[in-house]
Amino acid sequence: MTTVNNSHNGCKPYTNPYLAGVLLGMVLLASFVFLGTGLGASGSIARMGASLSMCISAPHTLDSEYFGKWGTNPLHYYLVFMFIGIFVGAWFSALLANRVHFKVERGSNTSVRLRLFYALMGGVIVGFASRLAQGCTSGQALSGGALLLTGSLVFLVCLFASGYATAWFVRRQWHD
Amino acid sequence: MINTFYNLNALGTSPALFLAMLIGFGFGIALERAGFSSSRRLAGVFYFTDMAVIKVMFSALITAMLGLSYMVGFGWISMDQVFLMPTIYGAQIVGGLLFGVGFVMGAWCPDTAIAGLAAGRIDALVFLLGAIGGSILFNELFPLIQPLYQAGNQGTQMIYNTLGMSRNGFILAFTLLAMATFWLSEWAEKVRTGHSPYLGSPFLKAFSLFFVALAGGLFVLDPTLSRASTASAAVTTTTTVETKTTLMEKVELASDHIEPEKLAYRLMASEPDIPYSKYTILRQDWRCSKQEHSILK
Repeated sequence: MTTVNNSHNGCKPYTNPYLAGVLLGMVLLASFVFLGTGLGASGSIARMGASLSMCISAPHTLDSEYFGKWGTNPLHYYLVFMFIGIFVGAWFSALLANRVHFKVERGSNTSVRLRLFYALMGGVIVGFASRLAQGCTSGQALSGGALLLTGSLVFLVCLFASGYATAWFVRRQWHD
Repeated sequence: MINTFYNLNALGTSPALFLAMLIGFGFGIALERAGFSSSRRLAGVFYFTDMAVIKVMFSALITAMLGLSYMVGFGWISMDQVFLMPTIYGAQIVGGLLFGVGFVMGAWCPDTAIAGLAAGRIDALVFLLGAIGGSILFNELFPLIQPLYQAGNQGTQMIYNTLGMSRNGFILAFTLLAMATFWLSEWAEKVRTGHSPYLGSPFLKAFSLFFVALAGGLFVLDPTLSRASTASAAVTTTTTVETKTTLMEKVELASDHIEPEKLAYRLMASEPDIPYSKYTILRQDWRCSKQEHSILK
């Protein structure tokens, strides 16, 4: 079995993507069977947003229609705990494979500023879009897709369609 | 049968929070092993240079889909124990289209950015801060967005019902589609980069065959899910209604059953043509099926 090599020296190659996918599927199945919900990440990010909003102005946040229903402690939520788990699990795995590197990933002919600008704008759009669609790649596309929910699969198709349609316009960030 | 935390309405309790953290730990390991702590690798899917996103995501999706279907088939869990998100066409189409733009720009999605942050990627940190900002923006604009947020709300919709297919038929078709996508992805990588480690490999052949066989096995495990369920559900309902009315008429006319005393006399007289199946009607519930009904006749 051959594996794709990483560009860094001393890093272990990535796992076979199909087997990594099966592992991810098993984790998702465990989540369905024990928690009774799928995986999720954007929910925890929104909770952090609500928490930050609470720090800035608690009355305004509690008064708002969307964040307001999450109460005074929006971080007390299972997805926030899943966030911590994802972080620790990925850190553990990256350390084992010697893949922890502090850097801005970009094409070698791309400025750090351009890459970070795209990352920030992409983040804002994704944060907004996940609230609108009530989930992200993990919560809607992957979990809802595995449950065969119509809306989640529609989301999945739209996500890739618009990704492929716009990829050409932002290709510069990966130019070497 | 397993009782989930969701079903117990206990997702906020300490055991559920701890379990969510453990599941997240597994999720993080799987993401990082797959190489999703690298934005370059994630972006590769949109330029056909590294199709890992497609391979990992669809492998995970069919693994969980088939795993859950088998567990339901064995009677270990029922689908109403799992939270099924509503289908809201407007919100999910617009949300999906926007998400794709953000995904290709940032080269992260929320879950992979957490993995990227753990692997020290500064662009992942910036992306996450942006996503927090985007969530706050959504909350501030919510009064304006609310009509779209609920546009085309269909409640819980299963894709096989939407398409008028049977559950098992859709699963088999979806599995075949995923396998075709894997082979196409390998081919695309070969064309773009000149090498593809899995194209035509014994591994990919065995892997594809394994999942197609698993999907096919569902037809044997639960044949009732092999018919389009909207149609069969409608048939069942009408049958029940018909049976109920005809049965009520027969009860009125006493043509469907036999009184215990009468039966006792006939037994004592040892009549040869006692319709034994009529015993069942005495403790029959109203929802007797068509087959049982024809036996009674």
